[in-house]
Amino acid sequence: MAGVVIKKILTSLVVLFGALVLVFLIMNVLPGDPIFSIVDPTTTSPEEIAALKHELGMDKPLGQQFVEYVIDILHGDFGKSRASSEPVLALILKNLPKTIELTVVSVVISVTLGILLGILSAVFRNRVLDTVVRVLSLITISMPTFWTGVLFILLFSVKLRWLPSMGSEGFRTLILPSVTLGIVSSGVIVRMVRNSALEIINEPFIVTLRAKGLAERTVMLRHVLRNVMIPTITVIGLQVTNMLAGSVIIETVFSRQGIGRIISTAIMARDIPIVQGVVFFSAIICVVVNLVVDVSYAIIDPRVRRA
Amino acid sequence: MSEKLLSVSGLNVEFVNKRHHVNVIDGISFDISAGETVCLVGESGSGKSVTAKTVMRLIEHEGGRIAGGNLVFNGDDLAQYKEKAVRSIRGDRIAMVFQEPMAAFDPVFTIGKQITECIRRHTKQTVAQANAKAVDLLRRVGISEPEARMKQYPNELSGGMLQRAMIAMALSCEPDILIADEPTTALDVTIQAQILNLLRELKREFNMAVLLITHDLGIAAEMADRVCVMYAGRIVENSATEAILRRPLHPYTQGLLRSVTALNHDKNEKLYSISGTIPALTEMPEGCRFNPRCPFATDKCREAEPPLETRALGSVACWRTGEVNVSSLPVKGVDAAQEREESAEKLFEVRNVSRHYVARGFGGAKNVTRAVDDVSFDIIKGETFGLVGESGSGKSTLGRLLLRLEKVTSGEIRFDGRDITNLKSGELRDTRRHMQAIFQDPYGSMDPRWRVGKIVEEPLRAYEKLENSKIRGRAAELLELVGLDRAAYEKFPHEFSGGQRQRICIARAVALSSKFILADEAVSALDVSVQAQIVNLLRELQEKLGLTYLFIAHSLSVVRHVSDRIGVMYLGQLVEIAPATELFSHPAHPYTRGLIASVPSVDNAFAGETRRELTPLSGEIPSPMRPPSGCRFHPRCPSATARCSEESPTLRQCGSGHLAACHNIS
Repeated sequence: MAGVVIKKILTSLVVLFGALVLVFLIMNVLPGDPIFSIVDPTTTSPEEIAALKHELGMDKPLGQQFVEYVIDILHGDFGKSRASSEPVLALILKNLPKTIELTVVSVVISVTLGILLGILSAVFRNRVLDTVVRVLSLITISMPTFWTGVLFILLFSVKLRWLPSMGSEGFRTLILPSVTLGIVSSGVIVRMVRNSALEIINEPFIVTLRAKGLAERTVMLRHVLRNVMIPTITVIGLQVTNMLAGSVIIETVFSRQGIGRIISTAIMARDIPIVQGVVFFSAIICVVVNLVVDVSYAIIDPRVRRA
Repeated sequence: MSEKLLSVSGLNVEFVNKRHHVNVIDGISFDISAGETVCLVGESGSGKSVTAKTVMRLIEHEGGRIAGGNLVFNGDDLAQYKEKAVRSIRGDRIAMVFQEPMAAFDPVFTIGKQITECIRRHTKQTVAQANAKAVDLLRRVGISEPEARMKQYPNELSGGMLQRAMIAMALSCEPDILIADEPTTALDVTIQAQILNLLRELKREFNMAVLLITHDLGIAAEMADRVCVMYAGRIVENSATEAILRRPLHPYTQGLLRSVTALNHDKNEKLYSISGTIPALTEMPEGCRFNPRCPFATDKCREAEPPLETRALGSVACWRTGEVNVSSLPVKGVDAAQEREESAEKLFEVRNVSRHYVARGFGGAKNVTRAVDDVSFDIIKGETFGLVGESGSGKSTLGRLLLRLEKVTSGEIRFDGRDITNLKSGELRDTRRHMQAIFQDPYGSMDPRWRVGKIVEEPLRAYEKLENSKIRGRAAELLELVGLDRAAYEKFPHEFSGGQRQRICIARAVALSSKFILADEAVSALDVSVQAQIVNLLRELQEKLGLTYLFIAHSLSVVRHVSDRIGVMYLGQLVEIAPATELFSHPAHPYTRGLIASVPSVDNAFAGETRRELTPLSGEIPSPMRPPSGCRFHPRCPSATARCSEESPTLRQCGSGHLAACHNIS
């Protein structure tokens, strides 16, 4: 067990380093000289540009720049925003909690809905409840996140006036965006849970369990559910990282604070240090989520533990 | 006879869905008394398992329904019970053991959890009490270190151990009836004998009734007090075991018994087989359901269904009881096996071949699995070389090495005089057209989306530059050669039965007039009557086309029947090679003797004054990662000496063409 975890942590570190290389290269593979994202070449003289490049260290060889970049990051220095001169790290740390809050609540909603409806759908397969759940999950999978968000705003904020349509203070502002994200991603989980539950129900060991005299409820909740979680965990992990991407849209639609919001603003403004910082933080979150997925695999499935 | 414990009468079971309404069990009746073993035998599709699941009322979970009849257990009719009431009987008064122990346990819970779950469901015991009871049970069924096993997961135990654990679980509430559905079918013959012995002991100890379901008449002969023969959802004969074996009355029973390949069967005689296959549930024939396959069917048989009538020793459902006898029938077709000329020409020469798999663990630790270890033998042109041994002995790996489906780690393989050990892919392709394979699962070895014609043609298209019409003609000829209709050409694999599918695979294997065919468990998954058909076909083709076979199987009697010479493998090594009849009449290696003694047999079961006990080998085959020192068999060998644990024996001559690797043979 410990071996599995250590191995996974080591591979995660390799992945993080790879992410760092990519983040660094963002600046250097964009078309044109990276300096033009800071100054306008039509109004600045070549001498001024050269001086600025020297000041920013952009005239050094690429390898050396990378080493210095990594050293800076290890010291917690992600550079400064080109627009506001605010340190990138501070900006991210200020906004990250809002995004994490949104993601966690959305995950809870989508996992609860997904597993509950998926299992019910499998138990009542080919009956009315199953059909309804399957149609709903298809709809949520097919609807774009922003469209669902806009519809919710129209219904719950504009028409019914139950909930605020924007802002990021307090729990009430969290409800609509997290329900939107949660419902959208629950569709995938519902389908996964339903399909694998149907597979598990047909496994020979289910007959053994019934032959022991166990109640159908025990068979489903204790045995089927745990087996179903093995493939489902992977999907949940993927959904969490998807939600991170979804937060870019959702935070814009609901005018919320969060890193999704800052990265979209930064991209528009070509504020490259912020983009780099946010991308690297997202990479960290993805790696951690995947690590959690792998470890929970080992907890649920004894066959993985011994591998 | 004591009081009836379970009395099944007029039981009807049907499966209903929107379009179909299929009657799978049609008015069957039988009784079981305390301490009695009743066997349900019959081919697959005869309704044995459905009957067992209906007694447990598990059939409802699979879409079935009791449409009529009674299941009177201890005076109450289980057929009338509500699901909740049935649940308190299941696992408590009636318990069940299943076919595939590997699949019958939940993979994500420990063995201990799964056993105590059953105990705590039916009794008011604390976790500690239940655990103690489970440990006792595991010890009782012969599992060593039961405390450690409790904490292990199903994937960490061997099939034999799991089946013991399954039996322990079934016994946990001391049931009145134990239902065992093909409990040993997935296990090796040695482990099978151990499990059967265990079931017998436990039956005596707990005074249980046992309902044993099996397709193997040998097992029925060794275990049963009464035998019910099922065919297409009906019981066609129900008698005391000895009576049914000595004087079977129904032509189906007679046919089944005659198609069993016994260990003393005359090798030169063709195997008897019941023609055709069991009818599909939706296409039941009029009259007696067996009439299309019965050699004695009359118009009456085709019109009216015979009732199960009581005779002297049992009951039988046949209009012509007493008039007919299958054993008087000649075996159809000419006997193919004539004495072959002594040819010394070798097709395969295998020298010191090994195949090791290396797995690197965490931190670079090396684990070497010695699947095949230093094996040498020859296969002579035109012969059938049989390969037997428990699973894990390396039979299949050796077969794959010969076909170069895998590369040897060391050693040399010559095919038809040519060294093929290190052939490059181009040269290998030329050699490969002369060697083909047939596998255990015919459906799994065909693309289900291809038409049968295309499947059979594929080797022709790969190797021969022929016009389309010629290839088509050749494929149709091949289908006829293996006994299929030309119309099969346009059909898909799923439209055929298991035996027919194996015929398709055989047609594909002989398409290129290859010299050599590897038959890896090619008949193991088939019912006895179909098995006999396929074995006969393989022998016919061998005569016609001059084929050489490597025949791998775990069924010793079939291997004995088809093979000229047999090699016995144990843990990656050949421990004995001998001509087939010699091997069975004078087995030299203790392992071979153990294997032969483990085979349940219709003939031996009642040979003596009392029923014989099976004398299985003790223990299980060890992991090829850590083979024992010296002779690999010594920890299980009844006659091992100190020398055996130190020095590894080599194959030595001990008779004409008879080699064995054992220190104790002079």
